Amino acid sequence: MMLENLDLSQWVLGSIWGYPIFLTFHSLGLGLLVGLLLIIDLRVLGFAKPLPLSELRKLMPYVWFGFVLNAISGVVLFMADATKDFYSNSFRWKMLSILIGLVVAVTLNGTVLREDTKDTPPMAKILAIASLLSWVGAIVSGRLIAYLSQPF
Amino acid sequence: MLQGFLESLVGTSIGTTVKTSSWIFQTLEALHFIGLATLIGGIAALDLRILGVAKRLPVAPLHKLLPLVFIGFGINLVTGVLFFLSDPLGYGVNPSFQLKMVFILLAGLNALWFELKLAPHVDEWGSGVDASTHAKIVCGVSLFLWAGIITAGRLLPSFAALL
Repeated sequence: MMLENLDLSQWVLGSIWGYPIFLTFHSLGLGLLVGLLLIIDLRVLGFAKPLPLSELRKLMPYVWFGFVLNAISGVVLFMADATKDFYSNSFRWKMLSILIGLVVAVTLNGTVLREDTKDTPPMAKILAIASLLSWVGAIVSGRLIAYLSQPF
Repeated sequence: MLQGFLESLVGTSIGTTVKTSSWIFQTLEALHFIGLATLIGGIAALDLRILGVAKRLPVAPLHKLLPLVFIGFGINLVTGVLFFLSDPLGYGVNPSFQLKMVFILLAGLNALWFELKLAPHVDEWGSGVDASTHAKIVCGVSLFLWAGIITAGRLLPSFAALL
């Protein structure tokens, strides 16, 4: 693929440091994105009820920052390995998990986190569980890309 | 002395199992990332609040999420020890691994300091109340150290390639 021939892609793949530097950003972003969403999801599920949902919503900019960090570093890592990643089932599962996780996060941010109810409705709890599962799915399938992909 | 200690850990049956299995190492890695998110989530939420983000969050219930941090740390301690046992000599002499261990030790001491000196005050930092400068410094150091731990962990294989 043409993407793999760009200077940036070649540097990322060829140098000792290129790939791990972007993997490092990818891991720091993961910590922010999934870590803070985990706290929000647990609160929606009924843990730590003294935390007001509308104030937890103020952590969302940090979640989005983590997401952007991972989108950018993820695109660079993809460019370096475009053919392998594109034809990898694990990669497709990861993209699907992220898409679901993102839609759920945007929905939570726009609905549940706007209201300061102590007890959230069942629909909110379902969303929180969907959020947790999709991000665990993204992490696991992301790991598998490195191992299950067929070399071309 | 370090060399002798590391050599004594080579070839344990559990380490060999992790090393030779076609799936255990990868599974442990996935768990290590899930543990990372669990650990960092609890720490980042508390640290950010104390530093002044989302200040209407009362600190005490955030501090009560500490068991979550311990679950994440426990997952990463167990998976981390298994990684280490799969190649004690390789990890032991890796400067990035050594730095990671020093940072984890410092983060642990920093957290202990928080528990001893600052935890008794968390009830005072209710909704909208600014935490003390002392607390802000400890939590800023915490965020810095955990970012360093993730970075050192991720760069570890590259140092291994250089050695």
